[in-house]
This record gives sequence, C-alpha cells and structure tokens, in this order.
Amino acid sequence: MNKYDELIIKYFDEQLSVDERKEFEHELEINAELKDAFKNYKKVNERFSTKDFLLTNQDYFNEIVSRFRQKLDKESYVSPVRKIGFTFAAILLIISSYLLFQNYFFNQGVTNYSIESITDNLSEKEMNELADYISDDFWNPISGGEKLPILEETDLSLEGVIANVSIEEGVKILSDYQINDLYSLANEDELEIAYNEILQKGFIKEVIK
Amino acid sequence: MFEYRMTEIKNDQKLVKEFISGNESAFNRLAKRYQEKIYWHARRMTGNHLDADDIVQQVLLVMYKKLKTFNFDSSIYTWIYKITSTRSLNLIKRNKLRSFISIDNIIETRVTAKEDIISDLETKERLEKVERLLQRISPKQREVFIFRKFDELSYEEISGITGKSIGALKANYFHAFNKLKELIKNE
Repeated sequence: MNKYDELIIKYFDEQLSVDERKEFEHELEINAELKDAFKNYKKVNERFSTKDFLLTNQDYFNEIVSRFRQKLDKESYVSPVRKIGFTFAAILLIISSYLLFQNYFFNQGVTNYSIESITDNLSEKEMNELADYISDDFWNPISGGEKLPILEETDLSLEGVIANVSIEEGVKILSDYQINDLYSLANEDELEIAYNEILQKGFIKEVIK
Repeated sequence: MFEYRMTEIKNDQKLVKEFISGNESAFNRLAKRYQEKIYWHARRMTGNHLDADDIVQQVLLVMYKKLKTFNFDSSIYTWIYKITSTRSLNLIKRNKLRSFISIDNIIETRVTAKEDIISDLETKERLEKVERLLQRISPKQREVFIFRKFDELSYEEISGITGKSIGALKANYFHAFNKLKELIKNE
C-alpha cells in the first residue's frame, strides 16, 4: 500500500475540494513518487471510464418490454394450484441445496449435521467465504430461528428430501416465504421436475383441503 | 446535473401516476427509460448477458407489481436501482451456491453462452476484459464501484439504495479501486 493511494483514489473519485485538487495536481508535477503511483491508478480510471464501448444491438433493447408483456400474459394463466405446487417445489429445492451443501463439507458418513457443527469445522477464510456467499436472508426465512429438520440418512435425492419433509413442516416453511421470491429461485425446468414429484406425493391435495 | 435529475424525477412521477390510474403504456415508457440502466448494472455485476437479461425481466416484473403501491418516499430511479441491486446480488449468491453444490453447470453455461448483444468484436473484447476484472473483486466492492463509476451515483444515493453507511461505501470503493489497480498491473 502506497502512502499516496488514498489521495489518488479520492482525486479520481472527485472527493477532493477545489483547493485540494489544485494542490494535488501541483504535487503531481514535482513529485516523482506520486507521479509513479498515479500512473497505475490512471490505467484503472481509463479502463473503466470508457463509456463509448457500449455499441450494442439495439434490437435487444427494443424487444425487452414486449418480451416482458408476453411473459406477464403467460404468467396470468398460471393457476393458483399450480403456483402452490411450484412454491413447494422451490422450497424443496432450497432444502435440497441446504442438504447438498452440508454434504460438501461432511461427506465422511456423519449422520447428524447442524449449522454450528459446520461452522466449527471451518477455517476463518472458509467462514468469510461462506458469509459472503450465503446471506442471512437465505437461511433465516427457512429456519425461522429454528433448525431445519435433520435427516437421519444422507439421502440427497429429490425423492429423499420429499420423503423426509412432513406436510406440516412444508406448510410452516411456506408461511415464512413470499411466493414470488420462491418462484424466482429456480428455473422452470427445475420447478417442473419438482412439481411432478410433489404431485405424486399428494402434497397439493393436502394443502388445499 | 441536479436540474436534469429533478426533471427526470418529475417525469417519472408523472408516468407512475398515469400507470396507477390505468394507463398501461405509461409503464412501457417508464420501462424503456430504465431498461438500459438496469441491464448494464446487472451485466456488470453478473458478468454475462443471460443473467443480466434475467434480472431485467425480474426487475420489470417487480416494478409492474409494486408500482401501484409506490408511495414516493424515494425517487423512482433509486427504487429501481434498489431492486436491480438486490436481484443482482441474489443471483450472484445463487450462482455461487450452485457452483458449490453442482446442481448444474450454470456458471459454465453462462460463461460460454454465445448469445450476446454485442456483435462488434473489438467492443466485445474490451467489454469482456472489463467484465473479467470486475468479477475478480468481491460483489460488495464491485457494486459500489459500478454505482460510482458507471451509474454515476453519489455516495448519498448509493447509501439510500444499499442501506450502508457512506464511510463503509467509501472504504469498499477504495478497496475495489486498489484491487483493480493491482490486477491491471499484473496483466
């Protein structure tokens, strides 16, 4: 870290006052060390300030709204029952992800896992990575302050997950979520597969009773 | 700049009011006004066209559904940036998680996707270089850097969007700039 770093970045970020800016530019002319450090930052500024590189195909932008309108029309035909099915599918995909993620750290035949047991075994670097990748809002709505159902076996297939989550647990999880948030978590193919699995298990019939 | 932004805010408010009163084409005009901003913010955050395209559609959907309850506490553009920012960060997290647990090869698919909106080879290469560099800094630093450098928002505006303190944003920007300097130096 160079002693001039902060000053140079502030200069490019236009965070210096008029007087400070003048003083900086004067110093730049007479101070070789500052000049040298400045050269490297100038490259960053040049690389990222080129606005004319966005020569894009305008057809794409011209079609965005009409594509959105088509999607909107299509969405209005999704029946409520199907939405509930998709929601359950999304929940199960999240749970699958959680379980698969656990397995990433512990694949040595351990049968009972908890978030604490994962974090206790991580290095500080891994903890930071984990915190960066997974936000609180990913875990909290699912657990609602409680732990997720712990599976006794490491059956991580979709069928396995469905078999291990009771309808009551599913409904409880569902109540903690915004339907649209869940709906956007998985792509249509994934939801379709999960939806079919759920239909076979009779989840929807139980929910809409 | 200030006057220009004030005029934009007033125009936005007019369109929102028209849309609320049932004029669907007002929404189209609002969407057209912001679609490129949404796309490019998302594109720089995610580093690819397909994810950016997904985010544009998601943001438009949220706008369409929530505009009717918009209470004008903030300006429309900061609200739209807030949705775009949240959706971009969520998608980045989701992709990271997927790459961890290998549900599918989404990252690979996205990177190798041929579909793009830039046909000019030179432009494409330049953009790819920028995208590659941006992907090597953390999402939090990347976000502030993009808001400042490309979206030209003030720290106050970014703070309103992200809910982070100005001090924290400046620190993130500093680290982003510094890291990019090192990356470019070592190219």
